[in-house]
Amino acid sequence: MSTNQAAAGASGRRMALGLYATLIYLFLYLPIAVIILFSFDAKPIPGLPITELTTSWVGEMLRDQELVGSLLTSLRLAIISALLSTLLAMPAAMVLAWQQIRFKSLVMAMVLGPVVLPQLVLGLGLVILMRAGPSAIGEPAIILAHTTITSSYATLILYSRFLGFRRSYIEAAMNLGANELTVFREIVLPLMRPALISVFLLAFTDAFGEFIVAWFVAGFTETLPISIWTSLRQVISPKVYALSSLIIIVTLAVSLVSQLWIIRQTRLTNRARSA
Amino acid sequence: MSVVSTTDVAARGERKKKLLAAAGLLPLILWQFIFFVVPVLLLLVISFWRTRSYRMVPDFTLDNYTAIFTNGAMWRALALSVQTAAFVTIVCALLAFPIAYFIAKKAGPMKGLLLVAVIAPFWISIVMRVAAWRLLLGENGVINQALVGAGLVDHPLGFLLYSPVATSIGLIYAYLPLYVLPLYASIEAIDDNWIAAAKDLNAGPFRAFWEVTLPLALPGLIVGAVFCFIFGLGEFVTPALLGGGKQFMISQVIQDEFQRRLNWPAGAAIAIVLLAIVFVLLAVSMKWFRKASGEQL
Repeated sequence: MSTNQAAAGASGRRMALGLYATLIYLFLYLPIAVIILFSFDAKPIPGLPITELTTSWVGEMLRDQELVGSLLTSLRLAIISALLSTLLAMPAAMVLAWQQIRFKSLVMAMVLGPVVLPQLVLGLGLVILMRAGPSAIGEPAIILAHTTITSSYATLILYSRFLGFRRSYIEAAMNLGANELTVFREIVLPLMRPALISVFLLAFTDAFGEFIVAWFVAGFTETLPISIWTSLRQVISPKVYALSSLIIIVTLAVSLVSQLWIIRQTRLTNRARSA
Repeated sequence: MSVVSTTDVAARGERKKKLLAAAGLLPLILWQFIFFVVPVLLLLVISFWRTRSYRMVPDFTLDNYTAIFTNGAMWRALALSVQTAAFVTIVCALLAFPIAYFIAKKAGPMKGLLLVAVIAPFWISIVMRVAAWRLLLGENGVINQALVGAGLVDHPLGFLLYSPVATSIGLIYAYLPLYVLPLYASIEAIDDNWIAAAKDLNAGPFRAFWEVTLPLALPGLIVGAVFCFIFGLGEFVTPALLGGGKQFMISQVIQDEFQRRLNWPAGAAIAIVLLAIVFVLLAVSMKWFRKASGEQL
């Protein structure tokens, strides 16, 4: 009887937990659903009630030179930042994880500081720094600001991956006469590829969506978040919602696919190891 | 002779290793020095300067700092920031714990997908997320229309948008995924046998939770809280677009000094105070974290 009660209690708790989880997922995806819904609203100033649906805003958006221009600027700058930060972070994370170095905690604090630094503060500091080189204001300044932030995250992620890396593979290759370069090319790089791709994607998404630091150092450059910010201060056109929807769907798809792919890859490597 | 040559080779190998290590580390260190350390130091330096007719004048004065601590508006902004960040952190912890527990212990094979689905909205640009919340919370927004339509309220609720309530909702939405991640990691690591053992020893589900699950999840709770609180304290976009501008948060005051009043030294001094708060918080929470993870200091 008491076991029955306990079982009923357990399944009741499980139900409650499942219901709760559903509510949380609704909370997380409600704003996304709303933005997608409003990008189909036929009225020029979107609002409830939605009486007529249209798909024409997508076409309108693609013809909007300014909006598409800022999208392309954002894409270009984010790709450069992501590449730079992956290139900076990978060798550094490898050294930090594998080698004894002096002043390690100082180096770590310096490298990881931008993660906890309020981004507004970094933006202001960079504005002051830019007084020394005003010609960098605009695209170069945005790239270096974003690289500073994303290389920090990238180092943090890659550092933990390198800590978990089986270094016996490297020793085996070295014993067979391989030099550092060969080991790096033939062993480290292939095994780290999933981690590197995920770090690149994370850095890209972060740089693509970052607003505040870019806004401070942008000068006349318009990234997509900056032009959305500007339009949020006026009457917002459904074109902005249409573009946002498109980007949100792509972002969600990329992050879902890449994360699931990484989970699968780690599972495969774990299985190969235990076999 | 041959002994000398082997040590020679070993020494050369050691030197090569060191050289490679330096070459790998140096670019990032240099980068972070120039674009992170130097900007923060510059802020510190100009926080002691003066402003005369919208121009910075090098000086060494503490006026900017005394102005902060004697200005009532500044205290209110700081209080609002701390309040909002604390409220958001507590709500996020309460909301995140059950969902992290559900994913870690009850989701079965759906685990990976459910976790990724929680994190994914975090990657959407902040300005787009805020735009979405404006659609939801506005006077003619989705939530008000639904409430009026359902007959729950007579008039649309005006306080939903452009208020500290809206800021809090936006921040909770932004930081919930951030809180779930470390919590999930520490709950995942709890051995089910420990909970089962507590139950075998006649602990009820609540006691098992209170005495086993919660203490073991504490490191995750602390990491989540630290990030939530620190990010909430310095957040700018959400209060600027959802908060309405009647009550400023500290980040808005800093931005105002810099961009509207063009008083960079004053803004820099507030930024340095904000940084000092963040730094102290980090130092204290590191101690808690070590204690909670059972590490000896």
